Amino acid sequence: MSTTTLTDDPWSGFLDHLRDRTSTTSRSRAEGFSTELWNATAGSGLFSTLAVEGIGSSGMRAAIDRIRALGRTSPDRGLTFSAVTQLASTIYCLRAFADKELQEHYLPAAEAGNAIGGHAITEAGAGSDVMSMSTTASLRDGHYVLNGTKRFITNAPIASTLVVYAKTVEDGVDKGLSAFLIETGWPGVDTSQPMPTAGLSTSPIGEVSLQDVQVPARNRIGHTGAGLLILDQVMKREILLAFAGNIGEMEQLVSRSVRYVNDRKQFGTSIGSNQLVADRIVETQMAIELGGALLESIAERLDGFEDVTIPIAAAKVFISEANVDSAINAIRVHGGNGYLAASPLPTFLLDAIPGAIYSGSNDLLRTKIATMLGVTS
Amino acid sequence: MPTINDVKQYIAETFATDITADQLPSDVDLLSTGILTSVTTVQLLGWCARTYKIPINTIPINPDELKTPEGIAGFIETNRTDSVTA
Amino acid sequence: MTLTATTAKAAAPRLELSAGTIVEGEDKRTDDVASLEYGIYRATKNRRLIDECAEVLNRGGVAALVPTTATETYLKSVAEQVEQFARSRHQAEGTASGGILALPTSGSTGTPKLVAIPVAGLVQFLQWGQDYFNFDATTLSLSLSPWNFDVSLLDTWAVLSSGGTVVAAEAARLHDAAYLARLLDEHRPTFVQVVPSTLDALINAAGGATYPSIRNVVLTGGVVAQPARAAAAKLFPEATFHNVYGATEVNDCLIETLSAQQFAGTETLPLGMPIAGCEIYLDADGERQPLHEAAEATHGELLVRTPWMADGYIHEGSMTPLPVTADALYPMKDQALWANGQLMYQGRRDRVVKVRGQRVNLEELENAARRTGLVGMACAWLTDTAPAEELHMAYTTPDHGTATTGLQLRMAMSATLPAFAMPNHLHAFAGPFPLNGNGKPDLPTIKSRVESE
Repeated sequence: MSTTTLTDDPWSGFLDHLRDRTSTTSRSRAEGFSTELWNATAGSGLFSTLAVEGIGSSGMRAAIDRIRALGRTSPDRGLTFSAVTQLASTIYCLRAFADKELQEHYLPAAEAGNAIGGHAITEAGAGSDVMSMSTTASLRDGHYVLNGTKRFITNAPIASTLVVYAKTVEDGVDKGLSAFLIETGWPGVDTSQPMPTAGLSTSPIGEVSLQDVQVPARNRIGHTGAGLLILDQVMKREILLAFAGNIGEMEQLVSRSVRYVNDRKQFGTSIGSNQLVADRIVETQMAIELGGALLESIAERLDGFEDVTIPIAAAKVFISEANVDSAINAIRVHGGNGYLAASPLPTFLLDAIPGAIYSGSNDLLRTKIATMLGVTS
Repeated sequence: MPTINDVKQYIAETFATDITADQLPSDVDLLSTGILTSVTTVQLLGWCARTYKIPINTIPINPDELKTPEGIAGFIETNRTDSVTA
Repeated sequence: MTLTATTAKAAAPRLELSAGTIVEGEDKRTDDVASLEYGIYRATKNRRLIDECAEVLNRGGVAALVPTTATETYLKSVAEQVEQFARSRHQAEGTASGGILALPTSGSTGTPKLVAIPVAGLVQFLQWGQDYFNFDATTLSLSLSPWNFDVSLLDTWAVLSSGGTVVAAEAARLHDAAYLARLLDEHRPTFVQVVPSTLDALINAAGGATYPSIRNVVLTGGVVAQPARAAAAKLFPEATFHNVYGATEVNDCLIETLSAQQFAGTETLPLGMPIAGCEIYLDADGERQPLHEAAEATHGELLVRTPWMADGYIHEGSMTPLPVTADALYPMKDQALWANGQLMYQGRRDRVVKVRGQRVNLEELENAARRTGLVGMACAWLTDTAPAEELHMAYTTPDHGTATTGLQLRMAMSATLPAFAMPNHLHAFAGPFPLNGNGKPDLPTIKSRVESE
């Protein structure tokens, strides 16, 4: 066990703590969400990054660096994913769009990591087609009544708060989407249905059922009908952070693989001297360089005036697909050892696969890029 | 040239191609008349950002402001950071 | 003639139409094409037609009915198809499979497509009609529609089968108000089936008179607005009304029975409940469910299975099967809404589109444009480069009129249409729309003209 490091920086201390942990084995994965690790993450100050550095370019750069470091160091990729959700869905959203009163009410607990949050967007009938969602928020006597069901909501089973996106109805008129901050303890909110997944099993994900949930008007984030614009900005931050995590995870794959190919000897020499084997690691590193640089560049551009929709979509598609390829390459580099149940590598692969699905399906993002370039169908 | 004329010009050229800029009243509700949609509003914002140097990624936006040409012109005037010719 | 080996089987269902009587009708001798195995007949409304048809069908042959006004060429073309089909069918299976009634589908250009209705199913349908409407020897049915239309299977064949009387109105004379009024006065029918156009004809013919002899009115083949229904209720003060939904391929499958008050007063008539033996399904975004299992407020496309489905289409001399799903459900290409225990018609499937998450009925959009009085014809469509789905509408200047500006038209339409249903792009057409073979605006041509601008 390492000696306690005297450090003023809780963040470096936290990373050291992570390095000391063994990789998640299938047993610990089966235990699901690690409260201990979450609390350690909260204690590191990760969730206050935007409070300290702001929500513009410098804040996002700092958050990207930290999440990438988390991905590089942590054995628990599900936790990284839950942490990204906390930052994007709740902390960034409140800081960027909520009024002071709402911020003061919910940010302290969110940034201390005591209140876990998430955002409820997706429904059974509305995935990529966000506008077809049927969850409604009806204005009645100065408060909203929410009805609907959301699913595939990260953190829902453990969340204290959720940002719910719903179709707003005021005086019988559809006013478009709005965002509402709700507490999961309120009557009518049911987050008890988890959805077990093939990977990211330490990041709880579930359904959210809303039945006549009374939401005070002051809990609406931003203006009525601003939901689509807010969602657009929130998803940009979620992508930057989630895929920064992916970059870090690919860096883990590289260091593991380099160690392995140097140690493993066949035909009298290390397998790393086989260029084809080495190239599998090189491919991953190239993706890390390209993906990492793009994320940084996009973060820089956030303070500016240009529309970053195309670069964000490109980064997401590129990194998520490279992450899957890298995990497969890492398994192949490790040979039979990489395929054992005790090896963490297959879980890297399972954890990488949903990257092409969440935050916007890759197939649709590619189509979106084509449309934005002016390609007519 | 006043901002509102640029706005009308952009809208007539990009969205309602069958109307000319001077046919567009300053207070016409662009959403209820189908000239703008919730999705093309985002496109309009991109044009505002590029043309008038507005940091759309970081400022709060009230969609009600963007319903009419005069509302859009007002939004631009409030948030533009390019040098404005006197 | 080859003798096919007979296998022990149940007696094939037979059509028994001889007990009933036909009055009025036409006595023209026409040039039918007939043989042992098939008959192609102009649908003249007389006894001989019914008898000859029934005979061919009971022998296991194919009987086709064409409009009385059909051209020589059309008749010949249908005859060729039927002959070819009947011959190959006889070679393949003899007459073991029973007779087939072939009715041409409406609105086809080029070679006519004939819907092939098997006798077994037909007999079951006639039995249902007889049972539901209590047809018997005292029934007097006023048959307004041509006998090559499938509606006649209810108002004529089912009535004859029960021994009732059919007052065969000549379809060509329906706009002769005096003729219709005489038929009503003289015969005092107890049953009438109408489609929107024939209902209009009756309302016109009646003047202010009422016909209390009518006990049952069946409305089918289209939507009738409330004012016309109110007039119908006045016209037939003792009647029970029935809204019936179906298609030639599946015959009738849904029925809503209402009092005169309900028929006259309801804003929109529901489609009704499944007819006995019929199964109704709703396909909502890929999820298909039987109607009774559908959740509240489900929008979907209707699919049905009836005991009297057609076998398919006789086309180019052979039978193409009905385009059913793997579980033998026929897509009706109509959208419906299941809410509050009622099924409501929402429009043709290809005219109901989803725009940015909202359902838009393109027909309603076009109607809204026409109602402004600022356009002659309007034609709407959706371009779907997701996420930027956009509604387009082309329009022509009104007959009496001055051209409108795009802005005026938009302002006028926004008075009745919600924002999501407003056309995003308008295209003014200087001349009239190019039309297709059905006399409807030719959408592909309109679209390509717009795109080439």
